[in-house]
Amino acid sequence: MNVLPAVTFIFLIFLALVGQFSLVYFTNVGATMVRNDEFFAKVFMNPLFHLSSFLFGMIMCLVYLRFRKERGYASALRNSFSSRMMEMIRHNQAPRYLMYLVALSCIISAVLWQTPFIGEPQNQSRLLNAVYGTLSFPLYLMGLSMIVMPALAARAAAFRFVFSNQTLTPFSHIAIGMYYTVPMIAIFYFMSTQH
Amino acid sequence: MFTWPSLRAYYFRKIFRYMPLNIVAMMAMLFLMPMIGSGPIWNSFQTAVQGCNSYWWTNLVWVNNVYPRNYDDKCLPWTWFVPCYVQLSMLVPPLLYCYKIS
Repeated sequence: MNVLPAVTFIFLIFLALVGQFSLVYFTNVGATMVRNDEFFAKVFMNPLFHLSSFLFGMIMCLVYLRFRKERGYASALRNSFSSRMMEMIRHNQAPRYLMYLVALSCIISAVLWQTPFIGEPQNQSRLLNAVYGTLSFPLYLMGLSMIVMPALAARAAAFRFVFSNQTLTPFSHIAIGMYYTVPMIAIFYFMSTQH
Repeated sequence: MFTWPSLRAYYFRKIFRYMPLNIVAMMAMLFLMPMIGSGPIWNSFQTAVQGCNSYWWTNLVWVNNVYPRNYDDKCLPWTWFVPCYVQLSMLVPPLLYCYKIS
C-alpha cells in the first residue's frame, strides 16, 4: 500500500468514526446491547456502526496481500510500506513483543471499559455513551490486528497454534448454519420445556 | 479484475450466497416452529414470530437490520449480521477500484 491510498483510507475511517459517533449520540439509547434491545436494534445493527471496523479490515487485508505479492520479489524491490512493515514485524523481536503488549492492553482496556456502561447505564452521559460506542470496538480490533499481523508473517506461534488448528475447521464450515438455527432451538427449548 | 462479468459475479455471490439458508430459516420459523412447541408459556412464541408474519420480505432484500427499527418487529432479529455484511460488501468494489487507480 502506498502513501496516498493509505491516507485516503485513514481519512475514510475517520469519517466512518464521525458517522458512528453521530449515530450513537443522536439515537441516544445507551452504549451497550446488554439488556438493551433498543440499542441492539437501532444502533448496533446499523451498518454505519461497523463501517470503520470494516474499512480497517480492508486496509489490513490490502497490506497483507501486498506483502504476500512482494515476498517473491528480490529484496531490493520489496520497498512498499506494507512489505517493509511486515518484514520489520517478522524479523525484529523487540517491536513484535511491544506490539503484543500494546495489543493485550488494547483488548483488556476495551473489555474493562464496558463495565460502567453495563453496571450503571443510567449514570452515563450521552457524550460518554457516544465516545464509548465509537471507540471501544475499534480499540479491540486494533489490539486483535496487532496479534493477527505477526501471525500472518509466520510469527505469534501460540496464536497460530490455536486458530490455525485443523480441529476448528469443521466448526468454521457450519458456523453460519449454526448462527441461523441455534437461536430457534433456544427459543423452542426455553418456551416449550422451561418454567 | 474490474470487468462487468466479474463485478456481476461478485455482487451475485454476495447477495445470493446465504439466501437459501435465509429462506429455509424463515420458513422453519413461520411454518415448522408453531407446530412443534407446547407448554404454559408457548403463547409468547407469538412475540418472536410476529415480525416474520409482517416483515418477512425485509429478510429477502437484506434490509432486516435497519427496517423495521424496533427489535420486536424484526423477523429473525439475530440474523442482523448477514444483511449488514452484504450491505458493507457492496462498498468493496468501488473502494478497491479507487485504490487500484490511485
